Amino acid sequence: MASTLAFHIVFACVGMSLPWFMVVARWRELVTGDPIYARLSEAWSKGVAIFFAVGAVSGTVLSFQLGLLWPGFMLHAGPVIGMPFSLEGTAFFVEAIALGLFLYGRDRLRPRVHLACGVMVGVAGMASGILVIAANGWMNSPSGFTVGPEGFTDIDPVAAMLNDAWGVEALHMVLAALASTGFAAAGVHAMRLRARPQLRLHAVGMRIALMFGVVAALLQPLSGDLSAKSVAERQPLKLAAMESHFVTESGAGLWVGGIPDMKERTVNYGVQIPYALSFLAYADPHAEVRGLADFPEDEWPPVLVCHLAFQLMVMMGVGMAGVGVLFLGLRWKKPSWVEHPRFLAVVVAATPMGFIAVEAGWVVTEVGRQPWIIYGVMRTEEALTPMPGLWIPLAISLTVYVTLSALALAVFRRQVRAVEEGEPDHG
Amino acid sequence: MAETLIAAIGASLLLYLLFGGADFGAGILELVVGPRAQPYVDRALSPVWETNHVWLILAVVLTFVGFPAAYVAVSTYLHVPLSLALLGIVARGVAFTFRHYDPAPPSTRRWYTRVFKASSVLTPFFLGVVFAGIAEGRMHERLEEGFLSVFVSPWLSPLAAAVGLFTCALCVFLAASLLAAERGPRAGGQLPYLRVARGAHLAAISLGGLVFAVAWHSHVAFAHRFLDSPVALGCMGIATALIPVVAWSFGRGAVLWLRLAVAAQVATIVAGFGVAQLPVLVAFQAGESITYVDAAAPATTLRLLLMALGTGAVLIGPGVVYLMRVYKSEG
Repeated sequence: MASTLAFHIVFACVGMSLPWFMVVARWRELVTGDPIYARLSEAWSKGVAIFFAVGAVSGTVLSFQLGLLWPGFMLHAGPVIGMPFSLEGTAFFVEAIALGLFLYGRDRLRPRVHLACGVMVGVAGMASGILVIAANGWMNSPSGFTVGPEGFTDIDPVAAMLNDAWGVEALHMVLAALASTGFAAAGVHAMRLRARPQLRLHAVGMRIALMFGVVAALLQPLSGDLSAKSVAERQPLKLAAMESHFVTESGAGLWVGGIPDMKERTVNYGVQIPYALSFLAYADPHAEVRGLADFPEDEWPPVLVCHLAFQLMVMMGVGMAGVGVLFLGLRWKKPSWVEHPRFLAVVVAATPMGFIAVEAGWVVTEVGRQPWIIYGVMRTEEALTPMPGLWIPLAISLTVYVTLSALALAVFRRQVRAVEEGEPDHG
Repeated sequence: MAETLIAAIGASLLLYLLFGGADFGAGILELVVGPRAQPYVDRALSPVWETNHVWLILAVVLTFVGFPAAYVAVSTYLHVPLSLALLGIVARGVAFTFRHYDPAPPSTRRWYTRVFKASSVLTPFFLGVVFAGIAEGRMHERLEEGFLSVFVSPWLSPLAAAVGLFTCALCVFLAASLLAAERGPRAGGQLPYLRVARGAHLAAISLGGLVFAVAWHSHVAFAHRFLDSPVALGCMGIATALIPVVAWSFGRGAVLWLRLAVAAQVATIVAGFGVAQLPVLVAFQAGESITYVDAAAPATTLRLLLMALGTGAVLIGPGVVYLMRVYKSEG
């Protein structure tokens, strides 16, 4: 399951973001009449098609795997939190239809209608992502039911969907998707631009993708702050694990880096910023932040994993924001330097940062919720299927996904080559 | 409300069988006819296939939201064939997309084609096995009896094998009827599929008979309910009555009639099975079962689910029609 999700989340991010790139390119084409945008939009739309297809397949698998692996969860959670899934199905349908129209209608539809179809692809893709996040938000912040001896009663799917965690999580995820896809796409264009500087297509593509990535990366700290405050209120234990904050104290400091020492209950090799944790979590440098020691130890999530994943995510986020400031600065003061080989090298280096941050952030939210699958309501082991020998399906799905990722990468490389073949050497 | 939902799930499974089934069948056809089928298969599938798994997802989502107990029973005790079918779906979808979009050297493309063909057979086969497992009533909850008894024996039966083969034959039959239109008689020459399609039609009819024979022989309660239900028998009667219509349309190359007749045949077969199965959703050993009444989610959930479904239909219906019109507008 984890491997499917880890794989699916990448496709989901691209599916939420790449359509917008393709739409912007098509829009620029209509405004400027420059054929380079037409070629760029077409190249990106092929990418969208591939990612949509593979994402649809991995989504099909997910809808079954929920039951194959977590029957206990689905039995109780299905009626409560199925709502966003059924709406997501609708969004997915709309996306499929709009994408079909966009792909096959380039020369058959009027340009404005075609552009509108592209916008629909983007809106529907984004909506699917946001709806699925509602389910994850519910697992972190369960609402809309009462637990009784006969299972879950007083079920209110609307209240479940509108749980407290949804808003902040969805905002964080949307920005993360835009940032990660933007940086990854810009990185690929930058890499090809370094190899073949005469190809204008890559220069134009990099600018559009990077603009998306940079704006999202610069907004992300604000959304991260909202998320932190929400987590502090709803899941103090998760916050404590992310921060390796062992003892409850007022005016708590924030660890930067460091490795938690579980025996001594302290953090080694890190730098602590005084009062910062209290301030970030409660907007008050003297606020009391509850530590791990306040909770029974069998409810602790794996502290080391949470702490490291959180640090990694923040580090990547800061890195992307840094590249973002640099990019905006260059565009403003020295526009020609945007294509300087040194800056391109920076963009290439930033290619995987967004996706590393996405995976790390996902680890924080999932591992940070352990040992619960539904926070405070159902433990993960209660939800697991009774079938023995589970490592076999897990090993198979891991193998499949590793192979698929390798294949997708190879296909992607050949696609880029094929697009370049069709390009004039000076655009 | 639960009844409406059941109908919606049935309809979505039927659409999956019609569209997705044609899609699987095209892969099997390619296996039978050989590489010269590939261009037609690609052309016929490319616009449709992006939407076809959606029907399966829809059915699954409606089931786990509306009838969670049934979904959980199926995914727990039929874990193995479901996983195999899923593996097939992944391999197939990816191989087809890559074959379509990947400008790869021929050796790689041959691999995609091989995977595509093999998984086109395995996926519908195991989906058929899953449905047989749901209906046959070999499942039980005695976990202490070990892996083989709990997780293998519910689906390792002659009936499951027969239903799996029957599903494959239905798929080929559907695909052949769809592809027959891609190159009508006017385009010249004998259709490469015409012979295959007739063969598939015969195979589907005889395998359907085999399914009944096996079910009867292994005393599956389902078969008796089928014969006791006038509606189910009526459905089967219509399907049988349509056989000459299908044969006639094949002979005349009357594509529209052919498609309508084929779709009607498949629809009546599915409806017949559905009517015979209900109110049981999942059958267990010794006549135990989960009915749709047992499994239904609370009324609030069902109401909201139906509302979501209605909204979706309003949005999606016109969209599909528009897409098809744009696609066919090339002439």
